[in-house]
Order: sequence, then C-alpha cells, then structure tokens
Amino acid sequence: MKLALITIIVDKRRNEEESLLADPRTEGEKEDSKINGVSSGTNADTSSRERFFSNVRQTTPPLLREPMSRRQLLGRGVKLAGAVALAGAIPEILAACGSGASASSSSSAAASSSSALPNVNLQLVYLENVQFAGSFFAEVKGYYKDAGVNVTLLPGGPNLAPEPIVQSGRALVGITHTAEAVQAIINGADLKIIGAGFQKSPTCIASRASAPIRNPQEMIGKKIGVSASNEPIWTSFLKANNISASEIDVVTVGFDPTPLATGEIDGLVAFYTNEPIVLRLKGVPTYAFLLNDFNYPMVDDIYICKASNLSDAKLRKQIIGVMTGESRGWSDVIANPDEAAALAVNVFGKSLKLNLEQQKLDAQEQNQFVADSTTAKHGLFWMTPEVIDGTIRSLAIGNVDAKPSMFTNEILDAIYHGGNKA
Amino acid sequence: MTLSTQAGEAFSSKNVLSFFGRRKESAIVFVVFLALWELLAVTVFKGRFVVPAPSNVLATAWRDGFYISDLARTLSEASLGWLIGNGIAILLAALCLVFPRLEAALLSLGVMTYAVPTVAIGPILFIIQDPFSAKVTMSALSVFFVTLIAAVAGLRSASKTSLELTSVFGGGKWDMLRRVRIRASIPALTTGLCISAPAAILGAVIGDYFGGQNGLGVIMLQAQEQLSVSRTWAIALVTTLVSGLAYAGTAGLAKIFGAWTSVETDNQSDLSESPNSNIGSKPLTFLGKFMLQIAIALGVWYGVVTVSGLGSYFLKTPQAVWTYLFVGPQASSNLTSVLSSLSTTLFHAGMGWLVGSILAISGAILMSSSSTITKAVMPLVLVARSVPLVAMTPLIALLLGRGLVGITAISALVTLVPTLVTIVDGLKKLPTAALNIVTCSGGSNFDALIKVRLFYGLPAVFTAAKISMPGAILGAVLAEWLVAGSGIGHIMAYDVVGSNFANLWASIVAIVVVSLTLYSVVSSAERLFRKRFAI
Repeated sequence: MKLALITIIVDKRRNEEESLLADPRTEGEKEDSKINGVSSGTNADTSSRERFFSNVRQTTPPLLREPMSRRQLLGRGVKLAGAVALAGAIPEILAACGSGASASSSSSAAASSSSALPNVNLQLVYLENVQFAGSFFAEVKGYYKDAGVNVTLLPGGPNLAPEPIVQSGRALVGITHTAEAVQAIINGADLKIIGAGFQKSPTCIASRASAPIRNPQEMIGKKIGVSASNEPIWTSFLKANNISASEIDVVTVGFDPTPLATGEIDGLVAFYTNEPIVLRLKGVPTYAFLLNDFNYPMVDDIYICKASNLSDAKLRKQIIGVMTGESRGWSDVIANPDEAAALAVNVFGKSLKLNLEQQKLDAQEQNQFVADSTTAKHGLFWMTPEVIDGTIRSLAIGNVDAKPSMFTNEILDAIYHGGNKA
Repeated sequence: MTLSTQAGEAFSSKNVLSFFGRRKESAIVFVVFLALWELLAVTVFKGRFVVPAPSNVLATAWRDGFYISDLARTLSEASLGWLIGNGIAILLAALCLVFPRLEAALLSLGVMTYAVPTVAIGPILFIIQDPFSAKVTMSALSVFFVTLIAAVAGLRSASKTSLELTSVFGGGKWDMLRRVRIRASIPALTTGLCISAPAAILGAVIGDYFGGQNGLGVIMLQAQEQLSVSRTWAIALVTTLVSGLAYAGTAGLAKIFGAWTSVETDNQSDLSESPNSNIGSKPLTFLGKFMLQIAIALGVWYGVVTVSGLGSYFLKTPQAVWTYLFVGPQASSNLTSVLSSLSTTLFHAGMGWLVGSILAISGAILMSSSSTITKAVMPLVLVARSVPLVAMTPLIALLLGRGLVGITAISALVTLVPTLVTIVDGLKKLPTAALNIVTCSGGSNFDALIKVRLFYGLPAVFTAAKISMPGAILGAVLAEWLVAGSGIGHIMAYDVVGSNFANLWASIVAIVVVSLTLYSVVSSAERLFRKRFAI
C-alpha cells in the first residue's frame, strides 16, 4: 500500500518543477508520458498544469482511460520506491503515507485514472504558503482525486479578489475573507459561503512587545497601520468597541510589517499567524490581541462557491469532492503542522523561498484557528448558528448587511453525514 | 505605471549610443553611488529594516541564485507582451498614415491604454484570462502607447523631399509608406522598442501582484511580507538590471541590424502632431477631436463588454456607470465621492508633476550647459527609468512618509525622467544659425541658453507634458493604491476587495476622462505654439 501511495504522490505533483521527490518524479513523468501517449510539460505554472491535464483528457485513447491494473500500478510503485530510497527523500511524507494508508486503500484505482476526473480550480486568497497547507496535503496525498476531482490550486495575491474569479466560473471554489465575500454577495455576486477554514479570524492588532497594545482602548492616541484590504474590518472593529476613528492616528500601510519594526507605527492590523511571527524571527518580539476576542467574532478563510452550482447535481458533486479533499488535508495539518510547513517550503512555495522556521511556527499557531471544540463535534469548517450569528452581528456594525442565507452547511452536511462526527 | 513606461523621451537614438560611449564617467558615478549607499546603510539606516548595504544585497542575490527561474518566468511573459503590444502598435501606426483620419482616434486609444491604471483593470483581466495570459496582456498594455507614439512620430519624420519625389513619380500613399516612411521611421521606432523592453518587464511584475507561483513580482511580495529586506532589494536590483539589459540588448540588436544608419528625416515633427497630418481632411476642431475621442472610448468599452461575455456584475456598461453617477437613486452621493477622491488624486498628481517638471527643467538646463554633468548623470537617469516603481514605493513611503510628501515624490519621479530626457533632447535640436548669431554678437553661453535654447526648448516642454501629465496621475494613483489612505487609487483598491465594481468603473472613467482632456489640451497648446512661432 505504501508503494501505491508513493505512486499517487508522484502522480499528483508530476508537474511541479521543483519537488522534494525530484528524481522519482521525473521517473513518474516518463511513465505517465508513455501511458498516456502525451509528452508531459514540466512547467510549474498552474495554467500549463491545467493545459497539461486537459491534453491528457483529449489525447488519451479510450483503452488507456481504463483504470490501470493493480500490477501495473505496483510495478510503477516499486520502481519509484527504489528511486525514493536512493534519493533519500523526505521521510515525513513517507511516514504520513503509511499512516494514511488505511483511509485510501480503495483510492489507488481512482487516482490512476485521474485523466477521467473533472478538472476544477481552487482559488486561494494569497500566495502558496502554509496558510493553505490543507490544500497541499490534499493534492500531494491524492485526497482530491480520491473524492473524484482533479484540483488545480490558483495562487492569489494582494491585489486579487477571489470572489470575481469564483463568480466568473474560472474557479469552482475559492478561499477568501468573510467581509469581502459578503460584500460581493451584496453587490450582486451569486455566491454562497460553504465552510469556514478558520473558526475565528486571526486578524489581530500587533504591537511591539516593548510597547504592547493589549486591548482596543489602548489604541487610542496611537499610530495604527491599516492596509487597504483590511479597511472594512478595521472600521467596523472600531465601532464594535465604541472607538471613534478620529481618536486614532490611522496610517495606511502596505502588506509588509516593516513600519511596525521601525517604529513608524505603534500597532498594525495583522494576521496573528503571519506578521507577528515574521517579526519575532527578525528579533522584534510582538504582542498581539485578536479582534475576535474583543466584540468582533468572525469566521475567516471561508470557502465560497457559486450558489447556482449547488443545485447542479454534477457541479455539486465536484464541490463536495473539493471540500472532502480539503477536510482530509486539514486533518493532516492539524496532526502534523511541521510536515505541513515542510510541504509549503519545499514543494508548493518552493520558488517563494519561504522560511521553514517561520512556516513551522505559522502552522502551529494556525491550528488553533482551524480546530476547536466546534470542529471536534461537527467536523472541520462547520459553521454553527452561533458562529454565523456572531459573524453577522460583527459585519452589521460596519453596515455590511450579511444574512444567514449567505451561509450554508449543506456541502459539509453531505461530507459528514449530518454534521455530527460522533 | 512605472518609470520606464514613459514615452516622453525624445525618440532619437542618441541617448542609447552615448550611453555606451560614456563608460568612464558612468563608472565613476556608479562607484561613488555604491560607496555612498554602503556608508549610509551601515550608519544612518543601521538597525532599521529599510536600507541594507549593497554588499549584503549582492550576497543575498548570490545565495538565492539570482532568481533565475523567476526571471525566466517573468521574461517569458514580458517578451510575449512586448511582441504583441509592439506588433499591434506598429500596425496601427502604419494604418494611421494610410488613413490620416484615424490618427486622432488611434492616439486617443493609446492614451486610454496608458491612462487606465493596470492595477485597476488587473482584476478584470484575471477573470477573462488565465494568469499567464493576463500577465502577458498587462505587459502588452504597458508598451502599446510608448511604441504607438514612437512609430507614428517615426513614420511621419520622413523627409518631405523624399515624399514629394515619390509623389512626382506617381506613387500614392501606400508607396510613400512602403518606400519612404518605413525607412525613415526606423530610428524613432527603435528607441520606442528599446524603451518598451523594460516597460514590458515591469508590466509583468505588476501582474504578479494578482498571484502566481513564480515570477519576480511574486517573490518580491513574499520577500517584503517576510521582512527579508536584503532579498527585497536583491530582487529589485535583479529586476532593474534585467530591465536595463533588455533596453541595452534591444538597442544592440537594432544596431547589429543597422537600424541607425542615418536616414534623411525631417527634424521638425518628431513628437508633435504635425500640421500636415490632416492633409486631405478638414482639420478637426479641438472640440470635435475631443468628442471623437469620447466616442472611441465608448466604442472600445462596449466592445470589451460584448466580447468578454462577462456578466453585468463585473463589467459595467457605460449606461450602468452613467446611472451610477448621474441618475440612480444614490447618484449624487456616488458622484460626490468619486469627484472628491479624484480631486485629492489630482492634487497629489499636480504637486508631483510640478516638482518633477521643475527638477527636470533645471536639470536639463544644467546638462545643456555642461557636457560633463550630462555624461555623469545621464546613465543614472537611464537606470532610474528601469527601476520598478512597485519596489521603490514602499521604500519612498518609509523614507518620506505616507502623506503628501511621499506621494508627491513618487509622482514627481514618474514625471522627472521622461521630461528630463525629452527636454535635453529638445534643447539639442536647435538651429545652429541661431546659436551662431548669439555667439558672433559676443553673447556668452548663458545668453545662448536664455535667448535661444529655452525658446527652442519650449516645444519639448509641451511634448513632455503630454506624456508626463497622465504619467503623474498614474504615479499618484499607484502611490495611493499602495501606500496612501486617500485619493482615487485608495478607493479603487477598496473597491476591488469589496467587489464594488460600479465604483471601480466610475473611477476608471474619471481618470481616463481627466487624462484624455489634459492630453488634448496640451496637444492643442503645443500646436498653437508651434504655429505661432513657426518652430
């Protein structure tokens, strides 16, 4: 089983130019090329990855679309396993494969016929770092394919809004921030929120530990840096705590925490799992309080899809597939944040030159937002009525008129069969 | 958008050639510059996360392998964008000459592509296209106007004698284009192509701000977020170097192909809209031309809405924007908010333009009076043109603040370089006879400057203003988008994350209308001036 799983890993990442499994993957590519009768591109670019898969679909002769026989699969696996051993590649991933083996014993066949699976895109809200580690596991370990979809991850950036990408159909599912998604729906987008990656928002106010800002009241009279994308949250957070904007010296900042380090500002609207850690590693210890803990409860890193797709049987199945993969992927992240960090640093975000230490700390801190008592009871991403209600009330403070109907657990319901794990 | 997208440079090859001919002075300036930087980094900026020492930056670049794979990625996007953008621009420029009536229309189309901030249409491009193509498009958009202007100017610079000769021998417009104009256009066109090489790279880098797995912009973002200051600088340095090389490389290629063999041209009409461009048609009045531009803008707009096939959610039609601003239920408050943020932006841009222009004019005067200064400064100016503004903006904000001073500085930087180069070139292009008269009558160099050079240099000021005014607005918008908490750029960033597309489109329209108006007014003023003084 271990061997078969290695095959899957190789299969998943065959187009990733710089993978830890460099040598075996090249083997896998050659194999795939023979089997599918196409030459594989090795471009790491998502679009060419996409193109590659569609090539496979179009050019594969009908006979070859049949699931590969078990023997073939094992044969490939043996070769690859040898290569892996020779290369001395990441033991963590192999170990994880072993531990996850029981879960996907029936999946090998499905994975090997990946060319027949529908290709869908998942739009991330930012660059491929550990914030999306669940998706990385899902892709590497074949959780998406097990669930019947071929997922291409589309990295985001500071200027990209995922909502239009999902609304336009370019991506089937998107990961985005709550206020922005609700705003898009209000502005006419046909979207639904189908799960919450984070049960509480990691948005925080970070300050230098030497001059800590411990609560909203302490921000008064201070210089607080707010980036344009955090503006909506910031404005309502002030209202939620009865602070007038004029009492604070607001400085618009970019996305890098330099101004806090240099003392240009006293506080920064930041992501608990990002800037404070970056600064800590740079020798600038920080203090941070969560907006979530001061009258501003909010889910975050929410999953969105087009509302109309939910009533289309075929697309609904694909959405369930994506979310099943996400759920299994994130379970792995919670169990092993260090491995998640390694995956982000060495495979997915390889060209970003991420800092392993920082990504590890990030992944560890991040887990408290993903998993809590709610998810233990109902399953990951589940949105209880209380959580939805708190989010709506928070948004209402900023005159963002969210409605319960914008949120739905129906996809998660289908995955967890009633949303009750126990 | 970037320092290098400026088309205002004089479209002559002299700058490029002299760049290679001034090695000694450039080397001295470069070494002094590096030493100063190192000194500042280890003294003034020590312990702050702003300015790393150049030695540190170089070590980081070396350790990171000079970002080869990201470089390859960005270059592949940029080269495709360069080919497409320039290809279309040259075709359209040629079309302009065969059908002179089209010229006003096409140039205004060019101004539109120049005036619309790439950051604002990026979100739309990323919906219509896959990420790679979207970045290619952004890159193509950044070069289109530069080359269009250069090509039109070049094609028009054919000497009258040659044209008349063709005509006498029975050649029509088509023959003129084929036999005379294309040959004559080569020097100007070459400069346009050179300038657009770094512009294409920077277009692709800005595209990376919408996401990607690799690319110079992508890693720059990550480096900034991780507070890897020396890496941020290393990437900016590599980007700058490559942009400079792309410029020099294009120039070198053109030289190999003999693009700069001397061609008989008419010096008179380099960048101006020549008075004979309307031969055979009734000259359009200023108002008529402006109306035509609006009509074309609307046509292109409808075209995009129809062709893209996107829902009304993203792409607002002209009517939708009209309703949003003028007749809808909240029209008056919408209009007020757009206008008030626009006026903030215009104030920022105006300050920047003023400061940039004053610096440029003083610089040009200094340079025209001393060839040593020119030799020493010009290479730096050429390098400055290749520095990605995206990378500079956070630095400028940190050094000068995020208020008026910082934004003015960014806007001024965008204005400074093209204006300086254009005016320096304009000051060179003056009748030797006029200068001789001053010298013979016992006038000093200073007299020559005041009495002759400035007068003849004035048209260059107009020429530069046509490009640098929209450029200053663009610089202000970008600065507001990235660092400031006010202005239309800030509002548009807000609109994108909040999916407020009606306001985004209304803001784009406001910027384009202002830029087109400024361009038209300055063009007319320039034409009047040239007519009046027959320069």
